[in-house]
Amino acid sequence: MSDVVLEVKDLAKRFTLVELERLLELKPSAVVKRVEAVRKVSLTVPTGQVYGFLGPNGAGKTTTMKMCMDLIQPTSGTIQIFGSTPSDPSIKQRIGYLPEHPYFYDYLRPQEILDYFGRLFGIGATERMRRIDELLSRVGLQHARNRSLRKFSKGMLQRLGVASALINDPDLIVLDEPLSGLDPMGRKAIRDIIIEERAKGKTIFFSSHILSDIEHLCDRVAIVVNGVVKREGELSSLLQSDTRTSEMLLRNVSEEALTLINAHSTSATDMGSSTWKAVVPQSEMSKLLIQLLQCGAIVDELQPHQDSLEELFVRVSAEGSAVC
Amino acid sequence: MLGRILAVAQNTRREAYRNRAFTVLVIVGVLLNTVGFVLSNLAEPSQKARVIQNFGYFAVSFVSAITAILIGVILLYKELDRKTIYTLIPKPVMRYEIVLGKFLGLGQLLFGLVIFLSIGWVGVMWLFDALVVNSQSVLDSVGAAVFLVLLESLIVTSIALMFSGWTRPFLSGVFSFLFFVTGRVVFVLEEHLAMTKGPLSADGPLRQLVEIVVYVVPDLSIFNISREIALGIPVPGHYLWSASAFAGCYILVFLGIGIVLFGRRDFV
Repeated sequence: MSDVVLEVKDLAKRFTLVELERLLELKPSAVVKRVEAVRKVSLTVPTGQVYGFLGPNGAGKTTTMKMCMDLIQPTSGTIQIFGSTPSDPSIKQRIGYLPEHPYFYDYLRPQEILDYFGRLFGIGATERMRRIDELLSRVGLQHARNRSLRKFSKGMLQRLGVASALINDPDLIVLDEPLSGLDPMGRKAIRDIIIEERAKGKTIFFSSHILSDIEHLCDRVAIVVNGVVKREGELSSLLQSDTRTSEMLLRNVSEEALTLINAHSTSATDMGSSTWKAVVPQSEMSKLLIQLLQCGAIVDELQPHQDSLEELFVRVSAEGSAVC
Repeated sequence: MLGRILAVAQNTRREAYRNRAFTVLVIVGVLLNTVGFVLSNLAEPSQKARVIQNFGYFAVSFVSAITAILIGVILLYKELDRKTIYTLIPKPVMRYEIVLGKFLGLGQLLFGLVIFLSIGWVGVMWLFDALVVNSQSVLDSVGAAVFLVLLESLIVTSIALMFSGWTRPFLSGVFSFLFFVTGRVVFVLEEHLAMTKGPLSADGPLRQLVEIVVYVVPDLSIFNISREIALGIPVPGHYLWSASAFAGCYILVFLGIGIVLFGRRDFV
């Protein structure tokens, strides 16, 4: 088996929108608009890992996923899934996909919808029934298996979407915002499924706005801003490589030392009894440390300050927005 | 491939059966048949059988064509509008298999509908002694008429699917209906083109436009044999073969265009 399940290189998608209501302006430029939804996305999803795809709203996550799922044709760039193109039916046989807002035929029942999708994968009737039973139990919908989808809540549809993405026991599971619209119990159920599937050796590629879940679940992440991947790699390495500050705990801080701290630190917290905690950029650290020691301050602790994913995400998003 | 097409066809049939528009159309068909024998009471005794025959034929033909347009337009568009297509395309099903599955499912639905309405039509004719004209049974002609109605509705279905793959349901409904109506009067346009006097006799943009219409739109009047039924004229077998070949060619062309358009579409 290849070490890489999904490889995307320099992917771009430009949409051409025709605004017929502006025809009267008689300017072609007013009628035809071009929107670059994805400008340069490159990422590599290794086998057996959980890969998080992050980005603010409108960053191009869903468009990228749709290109990977053969729903949209890229303007340029390449997508390789299991070494082939997304339109290859033998590749689709190994993929399970949950769209951002899963829509189903509301005249069907969960059992019927899973049976239909199972038939499209060519799964035999007995095996289909077994998988349907198992999946409905896993997503907690066994009690509603014969209820019309018209009567389903958003969270129930999301759970059914996850079940439908797993009906073919896929090697690659692509989930677009799988945790949105779920109550805490629903989120836990889906998180548990992701963990179980990873334990089985499956590869999971998913997007989410819920950073705590990404941090908890993912081995590797990509952060996309304005259609461009700004960071990509192992989550721990990304957080480490973005370490640019250190945290120090100081005792016996005089007025003079405090002035220095305020001048050079990004944040300073009074801990009481002339003790302060300060976060200082590494570039300023050596100079500040000498000056503080000269002022009589005592350094109790000094350690690199590692960003949380949220801090990294906010900073990268701000960088991306500033560039544009 | 066949298994996937059949799965899409089964789902299409199931969706159509559970669609309210279909139920309404079946009721309209039954009502039209009923209106036939009510109106026949107003007609002269010699025309009574003809009124029943014509209304029954109209019920089967009109309702099946409208069902083909409405359900054909609604079903594929609903896949796009309700975004159920997002869960379908990533499955190992080719886009042409989706279009063919929809066509097959609708074809099966129309077959059931045409047979159901025809049974009602024959039943009414039997009840009111309209099955015999000039001492000759019209049952053979009725069988041929039902077959031709089915062919016509399959052409209309392929037209509706062709349009619904790339435009909104209202527009595709209008386009399909215009195709259907124009198809029914193509022979009139051909007659006008052949005339030496009249609005289409001189060369000009209007004549060119009508020539294109006549060339593109299938002549659906060949599927209408109400006159043969009314006069008790048997329909020869070769006519049915020719009509089948004619319908088959047009269905292939329209479905082919629909498949190409649907295959190139982005599902944003």
